[in-house]
Amino acid sequence: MTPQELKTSILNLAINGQMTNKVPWKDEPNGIYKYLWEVTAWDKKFKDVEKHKQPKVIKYEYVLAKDFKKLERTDGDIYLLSTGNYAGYTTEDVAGSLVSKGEVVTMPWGGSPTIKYYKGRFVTSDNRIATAIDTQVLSNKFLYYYFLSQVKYLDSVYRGTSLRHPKMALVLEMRIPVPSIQEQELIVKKIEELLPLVNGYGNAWTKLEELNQRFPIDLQKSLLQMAIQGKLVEQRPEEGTGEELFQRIQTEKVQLIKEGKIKKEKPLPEISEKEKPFDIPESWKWVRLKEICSKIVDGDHNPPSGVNAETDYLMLSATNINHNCLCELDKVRYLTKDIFEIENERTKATEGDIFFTTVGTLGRSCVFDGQKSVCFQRSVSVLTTFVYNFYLKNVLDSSYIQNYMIANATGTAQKGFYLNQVERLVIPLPPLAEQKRIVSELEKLLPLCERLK
Amino acid sequence: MSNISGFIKRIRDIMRNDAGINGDAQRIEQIAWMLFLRVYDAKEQDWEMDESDYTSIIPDNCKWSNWAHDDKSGKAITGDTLLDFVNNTLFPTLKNLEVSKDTPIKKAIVKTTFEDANNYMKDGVLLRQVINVIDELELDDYEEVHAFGEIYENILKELQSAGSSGEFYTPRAVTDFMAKMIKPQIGEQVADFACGTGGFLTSWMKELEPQVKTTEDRNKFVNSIYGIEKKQFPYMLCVTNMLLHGLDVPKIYHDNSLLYDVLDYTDKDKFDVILMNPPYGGSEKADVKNHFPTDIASSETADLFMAVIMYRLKKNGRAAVILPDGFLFGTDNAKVALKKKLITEFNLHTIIRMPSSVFAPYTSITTNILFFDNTKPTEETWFYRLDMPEGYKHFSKTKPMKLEHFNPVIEWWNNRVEESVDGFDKSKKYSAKELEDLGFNLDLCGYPHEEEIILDPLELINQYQEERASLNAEIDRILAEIKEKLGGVEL
Repeated sequence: MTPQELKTSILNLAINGQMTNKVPWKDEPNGIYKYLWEVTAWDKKFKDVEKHKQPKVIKYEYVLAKDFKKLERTDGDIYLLSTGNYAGYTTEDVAGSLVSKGEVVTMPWGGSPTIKYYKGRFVTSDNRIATAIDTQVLSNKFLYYYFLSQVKYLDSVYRGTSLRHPKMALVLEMRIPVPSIQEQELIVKKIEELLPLVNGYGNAWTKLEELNQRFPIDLQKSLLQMAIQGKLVEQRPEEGTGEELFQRIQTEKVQLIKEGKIKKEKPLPEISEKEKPFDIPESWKWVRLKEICSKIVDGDHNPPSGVNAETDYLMLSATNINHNCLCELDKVRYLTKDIFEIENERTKATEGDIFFTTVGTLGRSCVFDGQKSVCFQRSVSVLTTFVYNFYLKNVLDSSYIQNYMIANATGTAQKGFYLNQVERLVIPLPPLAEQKRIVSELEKLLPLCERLK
Repeated sequence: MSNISGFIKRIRDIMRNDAGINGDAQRIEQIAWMLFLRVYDAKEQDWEMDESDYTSIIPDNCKWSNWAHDDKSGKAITGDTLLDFVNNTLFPTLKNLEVSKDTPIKKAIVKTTFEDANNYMKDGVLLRQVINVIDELELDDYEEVHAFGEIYENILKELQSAGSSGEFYTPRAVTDFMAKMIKPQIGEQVADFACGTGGFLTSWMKELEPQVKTTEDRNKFVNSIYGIEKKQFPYMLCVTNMLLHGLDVPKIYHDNSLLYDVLDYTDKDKFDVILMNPPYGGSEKADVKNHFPTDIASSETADLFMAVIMYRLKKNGRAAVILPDGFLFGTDNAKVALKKKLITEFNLHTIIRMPSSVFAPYTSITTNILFFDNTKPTEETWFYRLDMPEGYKHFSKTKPMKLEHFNPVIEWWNNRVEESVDGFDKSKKYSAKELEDLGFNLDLCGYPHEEEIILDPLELINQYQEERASLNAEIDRILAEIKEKLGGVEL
């Protein structure tokens, strides 16, 4: 039950008489119900309303929106009756002849039915203003709560395309119950006891909604963090250590360099204690991303412009990497086969590679299934790793890496996390078999979190 | 003392090669029962000398000095023979010792300690090696036992990073601080109803010992501690810990403090001082709540322990308890009732808020120390937020919290002033009425910029369920009021 639903329900109960009688009132001829025009006076003669329905008109000075807020003074005691959520006060000196006085119920001329009640001195903006013709017959407060209970209907009465205005003829034809003044006052009293409680309910309800939205996301982050700290699955000595895996990778790299398949690399600085963000199991090892990849490249810093026709050769940007897959493929650059082949020399996207956004919306990644011909603009980096690619992807998804990237991205218009920073990222490395077990466990748990959303 | 510094490392290196030991928790469990037998054996040798009619509860073939001790005559059992003895003779014998309620505690503890103990090692040769390292310990005199007590503390500290076993260990910086501020006196008795490895009890003893001047003092000293621990493993660790601290008759019971009707407690069940870090989010069967009055019967174990404490604190007694943030901000019905009882019946004079990594790496949950006594209703409560010390981003295994980090609190303690930093309250006092007006939400003087703390999933789930329960309770209260007001009006 939303707070608004509760409020409307209570107001309706009050206004149809059920708070004060056993059965709701019936709208019968010569009964309790009257036309609004019979009991209220307004601030203008409305052109689509018959003359006899508006014998009395009470005019008020009003101020247009653009000048309204200028009247505000902190020490003022004259209420600024706006057409929206704004409220403030002004002084007699500032407002001068704009000051009105009375007990009124107001409805904005434009926008949506933000109904207000005020008694005292005020300056009004462009509101339609109603007041009871005879306060011994109709209480203005009762009128106010009646309008509040009819907000849905009133909203439908606001017509127009760009600017909506209430069709006053319809408003004046509304049927309002008018019981005795004593009963009206009792109903108002009851409503005013209940509304603060409805507000309290609204506050708690909103907090609960926010909590329920945050929780599944926080839980996913928590599970990922647990995984990359080695606490999700047990360590098994027979699977070896991160150190052993690391050495095997280095040996493989040396071989690839000999075969000319990758370039010789400058050694990266050793990882200092300060750079290690949390404790990991003894059998794991902290490594730099470059040390466990055979390829880390970014997309073209000077991408060619595409062709108009759709082709099979796509140039992607960061927008196309989201939700762990390629997306929004209607918004890509198409290239000719020849241009693609030149671009592809740079990134050589292969099945199993990880695409990783490093400019703009940072840190999104996906594992490539090899099903398309893709090359990239600068905002995406491509990694080929020696370790289990889905494990590495999960590390990149963790709060640890995500927060690190955000904290260390540079740039003014668009934040970027550049290639040399990517290469230096500090990654926790378990043995290969354990990486597989971790991913398997996450694949069971993370979808359960999705269901909580 | 022979080879103390290498002791832990040597055992770890040997055990690493045994396929039966999976992880730190099992390694510590394995060391625990062997250490217990060795320490108990040393104690028995003392008792045999001091008491003419002392008889051991342990049959001769199961005594450490007979089966484990290697007298270098080549007869010491090893390999499969040793394994067979341990698994099929030693353990079954000790688990099935005859114990009645008349058995003196110092004998009964052998059975209670071994009730759920396990031998994990699968290699008899490696087991022999470990036994020999433990046997090398010279525990003949007080100095050496005391020195070993320090080593033992280091073993216990490793629990903090041994997965879920970390729940049994409260960092000694915190227990020392609480024991210091509670000001133990000779003649007083302290209780910890979820004593884990006995940290509060040893900190109490450390703080009280300098006051021991006479034999009578010493008598009162050794009889001042009382502990209850539900789980087997920490129970064994605690008993050994007490033996190492010179308590021949440790009043530590293997029991569940929550299974007794709180309304049945009488003065003899009450204590002058209570120091505790109750478990949070624990799992108890739902009928545990039957032992508590309905209005304070919570599903959260920390809450139930608070209730037990309130029913077991002597008149004019003092208590210091570590509780999670959930207790402070929670406003579900049971918590509100508990906090109301605490503030109206007890003097909750101080709440110290601690930073989130105090219990790292076991958990990053934020905790608080509540100090209260049973003298009078609360007039005002002082809140103080302990900030991370200079140069520390968070505490960790390599950079743990130290007692000196509490110095700012200790300086402030007797000279309490209100202070705020960058617009956020750091220390402030609130009257009991103000706390009541806040609906007993005690989340005051909290940490300003919460750097994203990633809680462990189980804690996160607990915290979510607590917050959701609080909000739901609030919603239900409001709806109940609305329903009441909607019920009929006379015209």
